[in-house]
Parts: sequence; structure tokens; C-alpha cells
Amino acid sequence: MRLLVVEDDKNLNRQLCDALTDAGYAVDKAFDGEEGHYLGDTEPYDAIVLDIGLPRMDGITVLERWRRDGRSMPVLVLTARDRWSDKVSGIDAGADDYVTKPFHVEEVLARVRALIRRSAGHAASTLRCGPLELDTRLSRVTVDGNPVKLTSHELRLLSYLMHHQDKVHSRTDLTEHLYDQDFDRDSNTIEVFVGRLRRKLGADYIETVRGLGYRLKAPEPGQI
Amino acid sequence: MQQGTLSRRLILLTSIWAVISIGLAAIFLSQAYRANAERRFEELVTANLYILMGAVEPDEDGMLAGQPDLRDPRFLNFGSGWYWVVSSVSVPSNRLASASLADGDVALPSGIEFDDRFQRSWSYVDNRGQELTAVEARVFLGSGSEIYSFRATGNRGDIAAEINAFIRTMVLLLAVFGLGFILASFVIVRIGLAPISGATASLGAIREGKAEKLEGSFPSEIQPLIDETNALIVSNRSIIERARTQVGNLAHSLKTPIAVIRNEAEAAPPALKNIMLEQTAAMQHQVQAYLDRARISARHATVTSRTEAKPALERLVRVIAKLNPRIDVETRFSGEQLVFAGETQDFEEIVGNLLENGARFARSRLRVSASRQAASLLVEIEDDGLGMSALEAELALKRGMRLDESTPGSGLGLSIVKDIVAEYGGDLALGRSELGGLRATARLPSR
Repeated sequence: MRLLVVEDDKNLNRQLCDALTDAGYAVDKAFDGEEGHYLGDTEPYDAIVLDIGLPRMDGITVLERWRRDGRSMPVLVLTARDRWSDKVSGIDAGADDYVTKPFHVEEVLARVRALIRRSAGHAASTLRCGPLELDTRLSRVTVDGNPVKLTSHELRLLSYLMHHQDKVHSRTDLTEHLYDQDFDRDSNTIEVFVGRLRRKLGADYIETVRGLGYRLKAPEPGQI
Repeated sequence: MQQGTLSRRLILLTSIWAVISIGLAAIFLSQAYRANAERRFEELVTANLYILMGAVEPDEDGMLAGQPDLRDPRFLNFGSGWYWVVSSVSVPSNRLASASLADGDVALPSGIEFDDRFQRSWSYVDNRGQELTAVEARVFLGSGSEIYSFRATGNRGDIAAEINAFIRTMVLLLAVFGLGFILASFVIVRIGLAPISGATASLGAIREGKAEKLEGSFPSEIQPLIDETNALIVSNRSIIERARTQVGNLAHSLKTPIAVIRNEAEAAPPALKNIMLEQTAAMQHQVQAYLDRARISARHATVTSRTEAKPALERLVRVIAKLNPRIDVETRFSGEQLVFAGETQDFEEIVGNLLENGARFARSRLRVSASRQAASLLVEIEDDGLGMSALEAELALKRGMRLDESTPGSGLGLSIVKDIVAEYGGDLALGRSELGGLRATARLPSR
């Protein structure tokens, strides 16, 4: 899962990025509206955390431009203004949720998790694929109720695949969603992580679609 | 003359002026009348003397004879004070006298000289106690060398009575005139100062938030005052608006650093963390309190405005539905003319917070209804959650109380709603919904 944080306060930006990175997301950051708009316009983010009071271009304008240009990623708006008229204008501009300042970073994490889940079409916080379960709140993976220990990169890959089950993802696609801008992208690393996940979960969950990429699907009952 | 009203000042001044001028007029008029009456009296007495002189002659025997007709019955009325007598100076018994005098005499004074026409006049009191004016002339009659004294008198008491009657009538008339004048000035002051009371009422309306500026046309004398007052109101309002915006900006800008410190505190050693969390909570509380205060005072200054409830509700429902995709939001509007007599922002604050609260506790359904009841707009928000007991409802309306610490929210929602509703003279009631959960009913003014 790849996220963008657009917040002009350096400390708050760092806190958000650290917390989101710790939670297993690949995070890009921007400190003003123009930079944020550019990144959101060109990179395939799974969700964006956007402050309203930004220099150069305010958050509402950034959001309106993204939506006008057909960018539909979920956007969580951060605002100091907590009047309903501000909320209405934020939602009308295309925000999917808002958090009013001051907030605990945990609250932003919870909202981001819910937004990503919702935009992928999942209602519950626990995602399932046959006997495989991912509790998005606790970042815990179990197979038949038995916990499986995963590294953060493995978890990130599995989480993305579980959010978008039954879809084929190319390696480039996965790289773009799993690593932040500054990461030295080498598509072979995806193969390495897929291999490790197959070892830990069982070989049948991640299917290789020749020439296209990978797909997560529940194994046939007989195969387990 | 600092206290008292302008009209009291004007009425007092015109009354004083009326009393002084009417009093002076009374004095001058009575004096002029008196002088005139006395002059006429003296002329009458002298004229009588001349008639007498033309009508009395000594006969062949040297005895005075004649029938002077003075055309005044008072000369026939004994003791009337109106007398005449003609006598020879050398032989006082040779004399003629009016019937009113009979055997009496008009005593001659001592020490009063004759003028160059051998006339003199004096006043005296007769034996009846009447004050009389007497005129005497001494002349030769016929060809003889005998000198005759002609005397005529008039009763001064008669003119005194006449003058008194005049003064009585005059004082009565002037008093009526004066009272009329004071009454008229009272009415004039009232009518003349009416625009000032109009402006006062208008200013009162501004203070109560019923008007934005002094309306209506005023006389050109006070129009500049009205214009200046309006300009003052506008500039005052913009100063307040600016100050309020700055307080708002300051408060809002503090929220980011508070968030940063709070999040940083999580990683700090326990003692430091506690202090940081405690202090930032206090800061946040202050920020919120000032924002609330600015909101409430802003509301005082606003003028009656109207908000169409339906589009505003639809907008809010759209927001709530987007934020809570799992909840089914139903709207029910009954009747036309769903209008809230107040600011749109306040309406959004009331309904938005109620909706947010409902959405927080709803399992899957939320219902919003709006209807008109007499002069009120009723907005009801119902959910299918667990609802509240009477005690919980009472607690929920207290500032800063949160019944459910596990679901997110500022903890100010319902109490803020209650405050705003109260500002508009409405009320907020919490009850049980037929959906199973809480029903919050806001009764708002609608005009």
C-alpha cells in the first residue's frame, strides 16, 4: 500500500509518515499544495492524507483538481477548522473522510485503514481469503487461526494482494504500490517476496499468471 | 442642565419664556390701561367743568343761575362722589351745586397754586371716605368784577373698579393663552423630537440584533448623525469581524503544534509524557473555548436571516452518507416552507452534530425528518442504536461529557447543539426513537 502525506508542518508531516511507515505502508511526502498535487496526479497512491491549510495551493483546490482530472483514490482531509460548513466544503470537494486537528496519529491510521479497505470494497476490518485472514487493525496474519510471522515487506505485499483479491497485478504495478518514490526499484525483489510468502502461507494462495503477473485467490478446498 | 430629557428641557424653557413674557405683557397692558383710564377720567372731570362754566351765569340780581346738563346721572345721585359747585369767591352763599352734593361743599385745598389759566386740580377724601379728584377754575362772569369759583369732582373709585375688571379679564385670557402655549409647545416638542425617538428605537433594534443599521428617512438636521452612526456601526462591525477572524486563525493555527506535541509525547518518558499530554489537553481546551466564544458572540451580532432547511439538510445527509457508507440515511420532509430563521452555518452546526452523533451510534439506519409546527421548524434525527436512558440524556447535554469514550468525537457535540439551539430560543429534546435508538428533536424558530 502506497500513501501520500501532504502536510506543510514539518514535524506533523514526519510524525504522520513515521507512523504510517511503521504500520507497513510505503509513504511519500509533500510539503506544499503544488508538490502534493503533482505527486497525487502522477503516482498511483492507494490513499492520500491531505492537509487543507497548505502553502502555494490550498488543499481544497488540490482535491478539486484531482477529482476533476478523474483521480479517484481515497483522500483523508486534515483540517483545523471543525465547523460543519468546512466539513461540507471538504466532502463536496471530493474528500472521503476528515480528521480535525489536533488528532492522535492513531486516529489517522485507523481512518486511513478504513478508507483503503472501503475503496477496495471490504466492509469488515478483517480480510479473508479462504483459511487465510488479515486483521488490518492489528496487522496480524493467521492461517486457520494460527498466526504467521511476516516481515514488514512481506506483510505489505500480502496486504495489497488481499485488498485486491482475484485481480492480476503486474510486477511493475506491485512495485509502484509497495515502494515509496525514493526506493531503488528492482522488480526482482517482488519475486523474492512472493517466494517467501508462498513458503510461509502455502504455495496455493498466490498464483502466477504467465506474462501478466500475480493473483491472490483462495485455494480449492481439496488442495489444502 | 445635564440630566433630564431634551424634551423636558425644551418644555421647561418654553414654559419659563411663556410665563415671563405673559407676565410682562400683563404688567405693561394693565399699566397702559390704567394710565389711559386716568387720563380719560381727568379729561372727563375737566370737560364737566367747562360745560359747567358755559351753563352758569349770574342773573340781573347777581345771583348765580343756570341749568347745567352734564348728562350723567351720577350728579343727581346724592353722595356719589361726582359733584359740581359754582360759588362767588367774595360771597360764598351765592352758589349753585349738583344734587349729588346738596348742601355739602367741595373743600378748597391749601397750598395748591393756580396755573396760568387759573385752574388747579387736587385729590381728597370726602366725608364718606371716597377718594375724589377735584378741578377748580376761577373766572369773571359777565361784565362785573366778581370772581366765581367753578369746581367739579369725579370719584376715583369708579375708575379703580373699571381697571380691576379689565385686569381680571386680561389675566384670565392671558392665563388661558399661556396654558395653551405650554400645551402646544409640549405637542410641538413631541412631534419635533419624534425622529430622535425613532432613531433610539432603531438603535435598540440594532443592539437586539433585529436590524443591521438605522433605517428610514430622518430630518436633514439629524441625518448626518444617523449617517455617522451607521458608518460607526459598519466600522465597528468590521473591527469585531477582523478581531474574531484573527482569534479564529490564532486558535486554528495552534491546533497543528498541539497535535505535533501530543504525538511526540507518546514516545517520551512517562513523566514527561504525562505533563505534555496534560498541558496540551489544557491548551486544546482553551483553544476550543475561545472558538466557541467567538462563535456565540458572532451569533449575537447577526441579524435575522433565513436558511432553507431542505437543501441544507440534503447537503449534510450527503456528507454523513459519504462518511458512513454502511449506514442507510433516510430523509422525510413534510410540508412546504421549511425555513430556519437563522444563519446557515448555525443550522449546519446543529443538524451536522446531531447527525454525526446519530451516525456514531447507529447500527445501520439513520432517519432525518423536518416538519413545520406553528412558528417552529422541527428537525428530528433518529438512529437504530442502543439509545439513551433519561440520566444518560441529561449527562449528554452537559458540556464536555462523553458517554462513550470508545467512539471518536470531541465530546462537545450535543452540548454545543444545545447551546446554539438555546441561542435561537429553541430547545433540544432527547427521547426514544421507533427505530430503537436515540431520537434527538431540535425545535427551531421559523418565520
